[in-house]
Amino acid sequence: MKNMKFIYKPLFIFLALLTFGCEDSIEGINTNPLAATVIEADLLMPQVLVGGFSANRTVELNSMNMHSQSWSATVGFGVFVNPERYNISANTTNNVWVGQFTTALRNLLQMRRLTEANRPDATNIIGQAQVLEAFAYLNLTQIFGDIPFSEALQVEDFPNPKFDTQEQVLRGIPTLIDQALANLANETDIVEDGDLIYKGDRESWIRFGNSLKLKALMLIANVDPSSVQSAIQAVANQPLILDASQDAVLNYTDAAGNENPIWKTIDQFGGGVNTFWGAGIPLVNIMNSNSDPRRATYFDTNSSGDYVGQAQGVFSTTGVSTISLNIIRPAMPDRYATAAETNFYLAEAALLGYISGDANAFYRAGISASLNSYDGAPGQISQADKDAFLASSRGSITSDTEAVALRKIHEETYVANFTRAIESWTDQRRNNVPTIVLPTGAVLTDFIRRYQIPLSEVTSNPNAPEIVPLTTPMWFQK
Amino acid sequence: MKSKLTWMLTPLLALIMSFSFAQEKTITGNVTDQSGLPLPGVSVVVVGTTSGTQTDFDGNYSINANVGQKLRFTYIGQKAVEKTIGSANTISFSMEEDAEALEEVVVTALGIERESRTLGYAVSTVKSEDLNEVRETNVLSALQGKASGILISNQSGNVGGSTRILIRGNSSLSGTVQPLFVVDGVPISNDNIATGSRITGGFDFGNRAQDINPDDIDTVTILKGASAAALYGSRASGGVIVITTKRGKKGNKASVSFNSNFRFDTPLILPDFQNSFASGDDGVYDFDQLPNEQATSGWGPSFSTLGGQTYRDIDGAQKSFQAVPGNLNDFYGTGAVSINSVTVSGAGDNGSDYRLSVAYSDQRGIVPNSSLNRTNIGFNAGREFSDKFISRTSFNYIRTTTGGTARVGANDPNVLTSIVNFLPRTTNFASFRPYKDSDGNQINLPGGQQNNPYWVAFENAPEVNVQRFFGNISMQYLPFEGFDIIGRAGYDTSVDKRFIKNSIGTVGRLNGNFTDDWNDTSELTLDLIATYNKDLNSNFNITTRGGMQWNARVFESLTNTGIDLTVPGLYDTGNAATNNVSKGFSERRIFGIFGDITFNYKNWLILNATGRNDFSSTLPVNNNSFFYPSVSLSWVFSDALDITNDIFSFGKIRGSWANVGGDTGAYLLDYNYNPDNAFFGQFGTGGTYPFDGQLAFDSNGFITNPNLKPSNQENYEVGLELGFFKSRLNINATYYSNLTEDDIIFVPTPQTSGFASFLTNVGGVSNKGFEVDVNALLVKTEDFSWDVVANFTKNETIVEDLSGLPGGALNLATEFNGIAVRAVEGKPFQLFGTRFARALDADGEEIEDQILVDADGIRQIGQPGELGTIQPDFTMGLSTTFRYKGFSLSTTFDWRQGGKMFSNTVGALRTSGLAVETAVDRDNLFVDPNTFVDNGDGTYSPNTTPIASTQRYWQQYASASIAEGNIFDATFIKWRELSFTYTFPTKALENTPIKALQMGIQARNLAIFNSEVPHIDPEASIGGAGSQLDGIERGSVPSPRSIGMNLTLNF
Repeated sequence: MKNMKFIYKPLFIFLALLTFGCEDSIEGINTNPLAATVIEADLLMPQVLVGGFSANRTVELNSMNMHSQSWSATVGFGVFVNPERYNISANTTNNVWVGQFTTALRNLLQMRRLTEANRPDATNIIGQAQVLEAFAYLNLTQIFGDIPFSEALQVEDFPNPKFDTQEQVLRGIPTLIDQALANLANETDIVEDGDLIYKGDRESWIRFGNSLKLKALMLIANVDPSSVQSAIQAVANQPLILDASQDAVLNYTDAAGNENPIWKTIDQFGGGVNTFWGAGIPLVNIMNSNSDPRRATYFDTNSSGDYVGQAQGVFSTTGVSTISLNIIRPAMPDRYATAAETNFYLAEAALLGYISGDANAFYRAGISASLNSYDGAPGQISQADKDAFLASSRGSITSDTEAVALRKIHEETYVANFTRAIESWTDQRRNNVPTIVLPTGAVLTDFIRRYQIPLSEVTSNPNAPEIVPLTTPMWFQK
Repeated sequence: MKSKLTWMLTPLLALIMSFSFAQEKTITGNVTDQSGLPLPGVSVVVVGTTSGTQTDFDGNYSINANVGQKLRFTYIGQKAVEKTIGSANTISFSMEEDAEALEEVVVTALGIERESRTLGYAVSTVKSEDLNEVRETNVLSALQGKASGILISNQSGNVGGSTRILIRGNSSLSGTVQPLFVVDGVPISNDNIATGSRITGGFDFGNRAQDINPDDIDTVTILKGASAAALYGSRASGGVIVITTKRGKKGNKASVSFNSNFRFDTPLILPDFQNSFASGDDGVYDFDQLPNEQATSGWGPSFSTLGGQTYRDIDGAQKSFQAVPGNLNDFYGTGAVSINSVTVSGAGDNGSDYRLSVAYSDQRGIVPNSSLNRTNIGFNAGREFSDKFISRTSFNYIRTTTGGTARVGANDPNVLTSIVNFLPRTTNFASFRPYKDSDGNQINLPGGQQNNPYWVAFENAPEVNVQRFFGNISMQYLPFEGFDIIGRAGYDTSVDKRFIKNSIGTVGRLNGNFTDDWNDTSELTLDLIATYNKDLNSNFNITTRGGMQWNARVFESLTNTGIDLTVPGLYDTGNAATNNVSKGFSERRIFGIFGDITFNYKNWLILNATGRNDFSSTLPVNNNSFFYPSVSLSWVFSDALDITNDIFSFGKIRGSWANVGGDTGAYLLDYNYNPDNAFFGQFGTGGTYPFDGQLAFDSNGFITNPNLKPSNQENYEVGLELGFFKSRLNINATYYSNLTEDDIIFVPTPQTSGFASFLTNVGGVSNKGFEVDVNALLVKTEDFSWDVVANFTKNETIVEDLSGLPGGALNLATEFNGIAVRAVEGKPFQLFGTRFARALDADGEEIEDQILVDADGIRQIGQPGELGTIQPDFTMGLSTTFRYKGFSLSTTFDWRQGGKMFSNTVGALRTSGLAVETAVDRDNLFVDPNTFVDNGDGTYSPNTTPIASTQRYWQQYASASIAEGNIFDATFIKWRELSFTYTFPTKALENTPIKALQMGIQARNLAIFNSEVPHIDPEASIGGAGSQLDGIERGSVPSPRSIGMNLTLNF
């Protein structure tokens, strides 16, 4: 048994070592080596813009171009037939909701928190985040109507955010933008490289903020002008996006993996040839009656050399003008806010007396901005064509009655909003211009006016409202 | 035990003895059992030599031995007999039953062997011969229907697809419900690693328990309750599957065994199509377009009204309208499986034993171009260096190559079933051949933006190669009587390389892309266990155990997706416009210390208590330690009260209680910012980061919780074991109840909070159930026997507590269109989704039996709601074997009663007008029975409006947006196995080198009875092994029916 002792002793030492050693080895390994706990706020902005906003503003919400009837699908695949006939996929509404509320707004919240914690002096970054937050809420309310706003994104205080009415959201957005503008007032560190829109140009962000504010106010003014008249005048005096070069745009690129998803759809399914989408009848009709030079930019002619639209709910390429590859191309931009839009809102505000200023000048600036937005891109409009169009009767509202002038402003808004799916549908609903017809085979008895709040929200948030029918008008509609 | 060991060692002296000269003669004789029936297969050994034989079917034997030597006769369940050779040349006698020897030895937690009678909890053991009655490449499939308390579902008909196993119900809200797999005492991985989402064009590459060679398995023991599994700690909350591999048998010379199995697979069930209507819309065919470009595949005009007219087919030719019945059978080929194995095993004269096995499986699936090749090499050896040192080792190497796995789900151009199931009835699959031209371009496309199914199957076939090694080494030291200490190291590592491609020219991925996904998994387990066994007196024995276990699991992955290829067929990073690389890594460790004490009084009263404390790396440091105890008691009252007689042979009452804890995943405690490499886009239009040169980070979508604590499961069970008629009828019944509390789960938050979920301890889920196993040897005569083995399980899962969650409910997993599996307080797990619109009562509540229709008599989309539970009411398995002389006929049935499932395939077959039921009486515009119309003033009237069209009725009834119409009762009875085997009598092989020869015909999954789900196998599900998406089917690949042959040779 002497041998035994010789064995026991090291054995017990070994056991003791093993026990304490093993227990120690449990701690300190639970940190993900492939993730960071602190980063520069700058690194979050590309995710907000590309994954949060544009991923769903492009292909996911492209159906809104059909709802405004500026586009019309020309092939009868389910993915085109269903939304055009107002049968909206639950995946679409879910992706949009999640993309805006979590990918965009959560990362914007973290941008602010990281900046407050680590670079409290860099208020410009907070200002950039707040402008984009305003843009997210503006996107959301245009799609869903009532949404959480005052209690959204404050999970510690409001785990189940209540829904605010669209009116409350629209009236709250200018306040949010005012905070942003205060944070952008003085030059500090700002997101530069990660700012895929303006590369950190503070002045541009101020213009973007003011332009979004004007848009929110003009949506309110459509139903309650007196309450926002002075606010509209105030913002009209601030720097705004008035020239196409100032547009807030996310530019996709020609690089593989960075192309616009709408282009990718025809690239991957149609071999880079567009047989999927054609012109909408109301849009083509307006442009034809004005010999609009943008027709050749927007559309291919049909086999007879004409610009002809396709009725909604009908699917055929025969005799229809398809949308040009000038438009649907890898680097097709997603236009968040444009000079055309701002100028047309100002033209309407001036025309209706909300602000001082020359409605006609704003109107012509709006048309110019739209014509100029293709400069340097395929389908660029020649100076001669621009001049001719502005010189035509279409280029002026000075001799028109207020009603005709307003209609021209709204029609030009509609033409300029081409490919801006949410905005095109919003302005059509706001202005009731142009007149649209119920699609063939529509599953609703009236026009679609909103999307449904996704089931995931309804089932997880006790404060979610009852489901509202898709035909119920938005608050901003009259 | 000791005498047995001595006996087993005695042949080792053989060599020496055989040199001695003596007077040798031939002894013959006949051995019978107590009742005088001959006993075949009794081992006859000349003590102290290697010479031995067996009795034949008539109980006769013949052996050469010397006078004065002893013959030793042994047979399972009978007392060993020794006879000294005298002058007589004949030795015949009857053997006596040995009650003690009948005692089954069961491998329990940590590889501890205990006698079945001493266990205070239920375990199920499936032996090699039952497991391999009908050969199967996947051990889990082979277990179907063979044990109580377990529910095993094959998730798809893909070769190498995954198999989901639930032991005593779903005990967790978190989805980590798969049991722990343990081979020879060491945990191994049963991971089911996903490449991409399973929902959108994912693959079912299977869970890795399939790597185990069923032929190497000696026994499978299923530890069902927490008490049984308590020593395995936190990982055993889903139960444990303990696998013991075969060893070289002591006392046997080297033997070689060869087994060959060959079988054919055909689809068990394919959709039942109509054959009367063309594609089109509302009875009209658009002659400008191809058949598959019509608005629907089956709502066109009837073939009889199209007489004489022709349509343009994909080859440009004009063809007359005509259905091609059974066309889908032409697409699915006949699969073929061959499984060949060779085993060499034996034991040496120096206390060593070995077993080496090599198996090769070659499988061709029913999906064209799908295949699986698997090579298993297994080695298991032990050596007794002295009576104080014993060492064992086992190694397994497995190489599996899977090709052509069909994609499941949707939103991907390669989901084969969503192409082939929904083609017009005029489709002849021969028209898709060839699928490419001489330049490699895809041709003969069906139209409608779909790919040629053969292009998908042959040009876009994924390849998966898994190389796996697992094994262990143990050293046992027995310094003195009753004490031993064992150290064991186990290692399991696998490299899983997947290659997924879209060839240039694939519609939807025209530019081509490819993904290389390399996953590396490893798991190291170190055990140290000391045991002391002491007889205090002749009646009282104590066994104590103490030990520790250290377990580390590491997962690493490297994935590259190359997009936009230039040269066709070249899947190199240099041929891609962009390469998008991502990495994955996780590591987790558990350290546990444990103790176990067993008091045994007269071997009829046994009390066992265990305790284990785990430290987990995944939990907050101040909360990472958790202790769990278990107590169990076994009382063999038949012995205690001495009440056995000819009718009543065995009686035992047992009970146990245990409390186990659980941890969570790695890296869930810190709020992280994750570098991102891709953004999502509908229809595969997503893209990659960096974007325009800029990196993109994403913040965590879930809220972390620094106060996380271990989850907790409390379990008790009571059981009764009875044996009658000398243990020819045995009944084993268990009632159990377990409650899981403080489950660690991601609770969905309203997304408007900015977050998708928060990680927290929440809820309670109970599982209460009743299991009965019955085995009966109904008839046993000299030549004929008939036995029946049946099991019955009723488990009820109830969500007991979801306090604090809005609405007292929680979606566990969600699929397309919001169809979800949902936990609802007070109920079993529910299917949840959109229902038909219903009338509302005065309180605004839906009136269940008043479904509303619109002015066209068509049902409408209503509110989301519960659609029934996914949980079966009960499951039953029945196996029976008839033996007549060398013939054996054996069969197994598997019955699952109740529970609901959602089938997207059925819904889509109906909305497209292809399902046979949609062709019945299309012109009969009936009034949807028992429906109501809203009068607009809060009142409702019975509907009298006939449906506007059959097409609109079915398109709404089975709509993808309304889950309710696609819910079915998932009941089925499957005829799992049938085998007919002949074993050649030893006499016939006397003059050959063959010791045993067996041939048989075998079949698996012969038929489904009693299924209410049309068109598909009710067992299919999209979720995969570890998912909570049970009961939801979409695009499943048909499951196979197999018929084949088996040959076993022993040398």
